Amino acid sequence: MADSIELLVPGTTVQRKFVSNNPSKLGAELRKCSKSKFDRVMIHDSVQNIISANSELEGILPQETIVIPTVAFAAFQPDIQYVFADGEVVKNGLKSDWNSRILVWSYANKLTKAEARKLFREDVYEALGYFDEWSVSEETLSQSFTRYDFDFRRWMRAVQRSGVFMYGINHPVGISLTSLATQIVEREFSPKAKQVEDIHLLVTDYLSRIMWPVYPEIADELGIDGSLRWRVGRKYAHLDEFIDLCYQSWNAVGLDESNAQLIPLLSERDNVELLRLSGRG
Amino acid sequence: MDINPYRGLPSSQYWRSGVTDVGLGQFDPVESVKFRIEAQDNISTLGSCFAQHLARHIQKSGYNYFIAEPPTTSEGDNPVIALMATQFSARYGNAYTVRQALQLLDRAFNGWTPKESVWERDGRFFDAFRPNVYAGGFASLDELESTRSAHLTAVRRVFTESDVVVFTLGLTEAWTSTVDNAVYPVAPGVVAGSVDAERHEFKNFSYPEVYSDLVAWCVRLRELNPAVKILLTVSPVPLNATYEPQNVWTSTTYSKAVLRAVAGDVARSLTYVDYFPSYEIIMSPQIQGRYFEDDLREVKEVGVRHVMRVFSRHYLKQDGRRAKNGNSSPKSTQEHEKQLTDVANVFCDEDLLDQNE
Repeated sequence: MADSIELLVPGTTVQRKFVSNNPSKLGAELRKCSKSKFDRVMIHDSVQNIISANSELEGILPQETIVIPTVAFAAFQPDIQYVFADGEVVKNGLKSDWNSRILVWSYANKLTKAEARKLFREDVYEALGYFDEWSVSEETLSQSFTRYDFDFRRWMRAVQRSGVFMYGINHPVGISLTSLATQIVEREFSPKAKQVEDIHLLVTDYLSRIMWPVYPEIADELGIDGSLRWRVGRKYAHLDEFIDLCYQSWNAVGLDESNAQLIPLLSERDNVELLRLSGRG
Repeated sequence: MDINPYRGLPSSQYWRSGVTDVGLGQFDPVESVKFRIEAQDNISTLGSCFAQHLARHIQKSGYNYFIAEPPTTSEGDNPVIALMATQFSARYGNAYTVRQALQLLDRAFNGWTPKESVWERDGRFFDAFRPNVYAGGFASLDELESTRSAHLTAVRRVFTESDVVVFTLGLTEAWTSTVDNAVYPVAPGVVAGSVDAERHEFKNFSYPEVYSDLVAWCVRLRELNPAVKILLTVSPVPLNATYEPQNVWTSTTYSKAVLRAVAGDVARSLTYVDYFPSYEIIMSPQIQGRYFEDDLREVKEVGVRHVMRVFSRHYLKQDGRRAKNGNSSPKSTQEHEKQLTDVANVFCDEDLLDQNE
């Protein structure tokens, strides 16, 4: 996003700051973004949500701070699950933060790797609602765009043309970011903004280092090609290998039901469905 | 007060809501159907190669795909024979043009025997009306004739015993006999035989000819089988080559435009004929050619599955798949939204992504 804005607004330097989602740390980080140091401050709505939920964080950022939507879209990779244990994120077998809901559930319920493998199938995806994510993702993201006065439909038309426009549930591909950046500069920097053809090919796509596959049955519904191959940096794994690596990794950290916190939460109904579909119910 | 006739139409009738803003893979241009297919119905197919995909899907979906010419005992378990015998309901091979399909009725029911029905190559004999069906041809004319006789018996069964016939229109270009106007599926000389300017000529059927042929085909089929229902589709597969002195894509657009227009007009005029827009699904601007293989001609499996998903949803009475618009979700929208928002609020992986800046 920063690269895009620098390209679209010549002469502008955009500094990137990674901030914590821990409110007690966030305050200090936000104070470093005072108006005296920067002409403009821009934050994702996920940061705004934390600020809004914690009154002590209100008023730290300049009033004219630009809030932009966090691009989260689950329809391509609805199986992505975050897991925390003792406050730390639990990595998957390829050492990234996304985990598979089906796999985490299988591990927690002591399914063998072969049994877990069998759950990667259409009726399981259907029971977990994976086929119904498009309209919900669209609606949720549309609300976020509208809330901060961006044109969701225009953005969607641009990104949808590229096919799969997310590497994972909250990692947009390059064009998804540059399309949003275009709208930001048109609104916020209009006199200086210029058009850059094929900007998505020019900016570095940092997020491409981690890719979650679109499972074939889900891809089918979306009219795209699917796979069961994961990528993290230069490491790749097919489903069987991924399961193997995840089980090894979770064994090593001693993951179990008592210390695991899931985001999103696994509902009781999903649990019942998975028990039934795995033959354990 | 001014009345705008385009105001208040269903959303699918506007470009933006009917195409532009439709989610990936969710494009479904079918608004209504004239009939539904029952589990016990005999379904048969003929037409161009795209019809083979339909045949395969119908067989897989557990419906009653009618195969009137299955492998015989002497043919054994040969997988090549098995494939060839089930690609269409009888072993007629690809019927690319409507005139060819019409002449198939003539040959099966009226005893018409075109003058040039056999081609030769390297001492082998080929049925000129299905030269690709038996790879390598026949060792003798007798063998060819007896096989053809059995084949035409099977064709009669297909057209008299089917409840639904799916006819996929493929091409307007063909090679014909100058002697009796017999239409061949491929040019003489391509598989066997040899083209001869005295006996063969190239023909590109016009709209009036195709329309007239298709109406005649439908009417005659209905006379033979008064309860039959006909489903027309147009193959999205472009021409592999054109004999017209113009670019093959120009010929393709002519051919498909004629076939598409004819199919729509015939379906509009005959109550027992329906048009299924598989062509529109594959060619949709929203898909942007992604459903074609790298040769930009063959249709990818993901495209075929999209077509078949829509076909099943609307025409198969016991389609077990999810309803249109995915409203069968086991979860509430609020539940989905909450999950998505929770994920959006998680900040992770940035450290990993930043390593190689």
